[in-house]
Amino acid sequence: MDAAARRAFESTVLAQVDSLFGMALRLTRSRAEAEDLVQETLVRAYRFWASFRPGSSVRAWLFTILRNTFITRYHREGRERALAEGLEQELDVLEGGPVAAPAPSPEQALGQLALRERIDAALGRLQPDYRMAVVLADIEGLSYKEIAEAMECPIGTVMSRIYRGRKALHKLLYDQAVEQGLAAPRPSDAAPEGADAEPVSLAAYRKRTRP
Amino acid sequence: MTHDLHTLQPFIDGELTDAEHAEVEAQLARDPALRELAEEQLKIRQVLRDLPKATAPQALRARVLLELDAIDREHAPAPAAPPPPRFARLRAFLRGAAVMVPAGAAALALFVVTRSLERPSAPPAAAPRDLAVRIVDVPDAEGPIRPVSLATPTADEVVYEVGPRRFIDRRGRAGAGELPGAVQVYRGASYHLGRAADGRLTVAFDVGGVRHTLREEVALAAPPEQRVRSLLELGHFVRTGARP
Repeated sequence: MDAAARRAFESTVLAQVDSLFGMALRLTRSRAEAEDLVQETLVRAYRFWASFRPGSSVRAWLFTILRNTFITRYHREGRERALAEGLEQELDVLEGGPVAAPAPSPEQALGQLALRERIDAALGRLQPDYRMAVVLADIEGLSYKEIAEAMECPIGTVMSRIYRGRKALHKLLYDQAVEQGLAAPRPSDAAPEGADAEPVSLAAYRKRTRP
Repeated sequence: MTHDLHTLQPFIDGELTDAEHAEVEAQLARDPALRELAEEQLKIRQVLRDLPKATAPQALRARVLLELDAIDREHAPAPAAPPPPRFARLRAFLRGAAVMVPAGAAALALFVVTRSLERPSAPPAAAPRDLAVRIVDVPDAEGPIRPVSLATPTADEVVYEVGPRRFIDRRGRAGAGELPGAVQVYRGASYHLGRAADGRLTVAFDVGGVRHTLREEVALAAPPEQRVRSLLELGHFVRTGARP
């Protein structure tokens, strides 16, 4: 790579190291592994810098590489799966369960928790795809389009992952509040009718027939 | 009534047009249950947005820049002169404190080779420079890990030794003809897999104007794929630890 390309890479890509490191930390839950993951991601990005299309989202491009590198290095080991599957089953039971008395407001309890550590721990329990979608949307501030590009999936899937990820996170945080006596247990996560439906694509919504 | 979650999610994430946004707001005003759902999602979104941002350590930035330098050297034009003879190279290799970086790279390469020979299913090694430091500092139960000066066949060969195993790195000038064998991409770089005249496996690659051809000194009693992987690991760390 010539000096000009190297400078362009450093000014464009290395400015994103903090964001990549934050995401890597949340994916690996280990500082050492996060550092290795970011390093490998940036080395790959450098090798394939010529394939980056100027004008497109460099953040989406980098998170794509990060995600693929993570999958290659870690996901196959299956160590994320056990926790995530357990949580998914819990959620499915709750969402399909009978509607009981009106649920108390979890937000009242949320405000009383020492949130940061609890949120990080809760994020760590999400399925990696949900975790990544939520982090990209809510912490990194990427648009649906950028997240779809980074995660190589349709926008409808992005919306679904964000929705389910936030919902799972809410449940985890609420359960913690209950454990600490900060909130009353509720008989079920009484979701409003239709809430178990997942969002579909925004384009489909815009093309819908209005009632 | 069935709530329209198709609009709720983009409403929360600010992906709707102004008209669509107003439409959903009106819907929320009429429907407390939907509003509760929206508030749940908004609350989590806000909580996450308020989290402090992570900061990457400076050491990581430095490591990345070193990796980029190594990649640049891979693509550097061939030097005008051939590589220095073996003994000059080895003298430099073994000289005082300045020797620690290449020695670390060599030790690392051998360590990885040893580990991969014994535990082929082990996960990929961590960052080269971290390991290099660790390996140089920690005595190795396998015995001395070092490049050794042996009665090698030519002046352009370096022998790596670990315990009873020896690997030979034949070094020549890059670009002297096409690299032989099938191309294998490993850890983002290309290597050429082939066999020497005596049938031993070889892995060849060009870096920093030098052509490296790695081979086992004696064919190991291990499955071929494991032996190839060992040579590729050695190649990776010779490549990334190469100095001009």
